[in-house]
Amino acid sequence: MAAKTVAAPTVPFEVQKDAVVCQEAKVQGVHSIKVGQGTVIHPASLINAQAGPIVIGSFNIIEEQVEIVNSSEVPLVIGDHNMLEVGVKVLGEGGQRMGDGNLLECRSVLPPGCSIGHGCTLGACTSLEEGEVLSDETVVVAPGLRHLEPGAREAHVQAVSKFIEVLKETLPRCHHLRKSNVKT
Amino acid sequence: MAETADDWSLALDLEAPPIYYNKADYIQTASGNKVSRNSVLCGSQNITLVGNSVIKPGTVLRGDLQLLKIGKHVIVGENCVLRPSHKKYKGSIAFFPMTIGDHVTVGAGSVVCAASIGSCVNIGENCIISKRCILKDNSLVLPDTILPPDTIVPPLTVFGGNPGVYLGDLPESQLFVQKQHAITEYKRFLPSQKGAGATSPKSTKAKAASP
Repeated sequence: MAAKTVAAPTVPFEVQKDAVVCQEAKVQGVHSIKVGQGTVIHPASLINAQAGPIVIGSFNIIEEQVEIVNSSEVPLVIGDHNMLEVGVKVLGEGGQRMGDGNLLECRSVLPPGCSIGHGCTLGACTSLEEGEVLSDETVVVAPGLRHLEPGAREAHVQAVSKFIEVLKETLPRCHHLRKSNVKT
Repeated sequence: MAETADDWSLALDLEAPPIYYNKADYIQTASGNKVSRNSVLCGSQNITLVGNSVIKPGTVLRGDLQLLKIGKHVIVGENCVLRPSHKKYKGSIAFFPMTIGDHVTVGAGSVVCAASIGSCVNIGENCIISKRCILKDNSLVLPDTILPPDTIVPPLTVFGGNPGVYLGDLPESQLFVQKQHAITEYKRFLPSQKGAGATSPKSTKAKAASP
């Protein structure tokens, strides 16, 4: 079906060992995309290195309908242990856009120029203002409604690690995976 | 009883003109399911569609995580995601099977991670039904609602807003209204006359289940 039409990647696409990247995940653009160790990428997600490379760290979970687009030449960097739920959008220019241990809930948007620190939570359907930098361990509940949650980073890292363990067993049962192509 | 139901559907048919689709874009199964070729069915051996359901393009059904049981006359709009929810259980994470009853309509762009959805439930557009929610029979979720995790929507109630809260009750007639709504939605979804070249449903089903 739709998955069959996706051609073999012409994009330089680097998958580290132990990463679980489904074949149905769409990879577009002309620049390189690096996926770190242990990262899980669900089917029907879109990673588009439109104008510059994208670097995804290790132990992230990227669920379906997530869009990660880089529209500048600077590499777009996403840290480790992040959870990007269904329909999250990371748009705009490159740079260090996301730290470690963040949780982005369903349909939240990271607009151009925004970056978030470590251990943040973006609630469902929330968005940041353009150019905003979110400090560590902030929880965004709704526009203008946010609070701090100390220790969130550690909690997120643990939750994500456990979840990855389960997904590593579940996903290969029903999906073809992209093979690791990095020689160590 | 059956006669009146028929009369109703005729009356509603006049209000809602048929929606035509290109026959080549949909797979029709023997039990009357119409599944778009542009939808993503993961692990289709775990997905049960009882019959007469419509799955529109862009929709993702995650049968690979757990069983996904969908009743009859279920209409799933464009770009929806139906994924079983999970919970920490005995130190690791367990996924729950997801069951959806009969005559359920899910609006376009909704994300449904519920544990179970009863019969005759109406979910609006762009809703987010978070993990482990339980929607009982004949309930209504307004468009753009975000239901927090573990919410239970009781029968015959309306939920709406962000976060989704109880807004009011529905009359007992909701059962029939929603039933008719789902059935007419299915009936008005018709193949256009010029569409041709649809292949047999079985071969395409097998293709979806590739691994």
